[in-house]
Amino acid sequence: MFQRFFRQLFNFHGIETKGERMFWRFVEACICLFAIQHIWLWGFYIPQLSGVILPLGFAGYFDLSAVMFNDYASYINATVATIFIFFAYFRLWRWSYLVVVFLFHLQYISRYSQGEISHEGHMVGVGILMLAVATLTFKDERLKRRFAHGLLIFYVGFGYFTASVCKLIATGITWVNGSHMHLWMGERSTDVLSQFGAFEFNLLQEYMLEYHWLSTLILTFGLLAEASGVLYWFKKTRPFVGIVLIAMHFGILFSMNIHFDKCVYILLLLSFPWADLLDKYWFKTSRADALAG
Amino acid sequence: MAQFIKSFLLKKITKIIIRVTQETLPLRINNCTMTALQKAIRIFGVLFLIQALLLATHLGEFWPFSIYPMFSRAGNPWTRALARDISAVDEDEYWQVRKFATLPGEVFAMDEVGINTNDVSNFIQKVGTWNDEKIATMRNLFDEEASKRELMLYHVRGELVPPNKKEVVLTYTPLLLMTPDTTILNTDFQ
Repeated sequence: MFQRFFRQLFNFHGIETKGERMFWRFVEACICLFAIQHIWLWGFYIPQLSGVILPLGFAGYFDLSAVMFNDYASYINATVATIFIFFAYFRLWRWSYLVVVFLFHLQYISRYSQGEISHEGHMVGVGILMLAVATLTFKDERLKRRFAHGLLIFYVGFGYFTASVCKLIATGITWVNGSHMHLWMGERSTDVLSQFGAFEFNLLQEYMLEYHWLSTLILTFGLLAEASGVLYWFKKTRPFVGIVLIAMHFGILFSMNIHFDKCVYILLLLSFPWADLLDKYWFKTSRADALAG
Repeated sequence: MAQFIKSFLLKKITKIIIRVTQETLPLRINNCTMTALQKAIRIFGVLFLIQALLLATHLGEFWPFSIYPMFSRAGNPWTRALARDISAVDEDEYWQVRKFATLPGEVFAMDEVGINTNDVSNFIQKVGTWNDEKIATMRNLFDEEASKRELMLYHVRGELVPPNKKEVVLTYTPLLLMTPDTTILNTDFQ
């Protein structure tokens, strides 16, 4: 069972096509660009901070404020990380992605040292880590791509699944009660008002506040969508789970005003057979041609 | 119950890792693929083990690994922060606990000064006892604006009202007054 599972996940035996090569370079470029964006956005914010309230990751083992909370450290870190991302993408040094993971981690634990944890950067971080692991363990580009792709698929599905398990452990099946959604909407409306100076409920939010059952239904959908993360590991069910998870993210956006842009982009990239479409409509070829050729 | 589920999950994960490692041995595919797949499964097993250890020893959060606990505790009261410009408000109005509709002054958008409201909210939640250093930290965040006008930082609490817990009530308690000359903490709130 395990063999079959990993065989289909990593797909080492399959023929590689031009479309697949081109598509994976595009996915890799997107992950790199998302990483650069996060690293710099956090880099600009970090100099405002002065103390560590929540020591995340390696911050529990050294004085982060002495290293990162000065005028230039976060900019230097962002610059060095960007250079290493460039090295990694163009295969100039094998260990580059691993260095980027460390620098990215440093930037994350600095930015989110104030108590709030943002999950948007995790999926991008997992992407960089999987690229690092694949680059360090395989020399052959085809195996490297397939391994990174398989690992990323696994961790995306696993992340959503653990989110649903957390909800069931921390609250139980009553998590889906619509009143909980109303409470979070109050919290998020306060946040948006506090951040931007204005807030108005949209049509969906007004309906949700009026009809308790609608809020319950939306939370039930969210919980089931996350639990379906395990089905993301299988090629046949991946597009359907991808659509469900993307719909869930839009639900979160419209009901609680929380953006998970990068998660949606990564789901869009990984969930659908873009490489096959590229082969069919761009290169006018197929896997059978690749096998014959 | 939660403890039982945690230990149950940990046992299950350990079993899976052991099986994954064992399954790497009897692979029967063609030679070229076998080496790659075997290697991949082993590396995956090691990575998964590292992830499990890091998450187990760091409260489920070690970037980029996470158990994604966001919004997992439903129905609990929450605390957030809201700043208001009360320059044009009478002093008698400053220190009263209120509902949203009766809040004095104008809302102050933290985005205007590049402050993330989540950070202020978390500071308020986790600050414990307010001392001079903590008051100064908060003042520093708003210093540029507080030197031009009078700002009141409110502690906002949201909760579901018993007994049926269907209605949400938000309570705004004045916490920190920041004026061009001084910073005053609401000692009643302490």
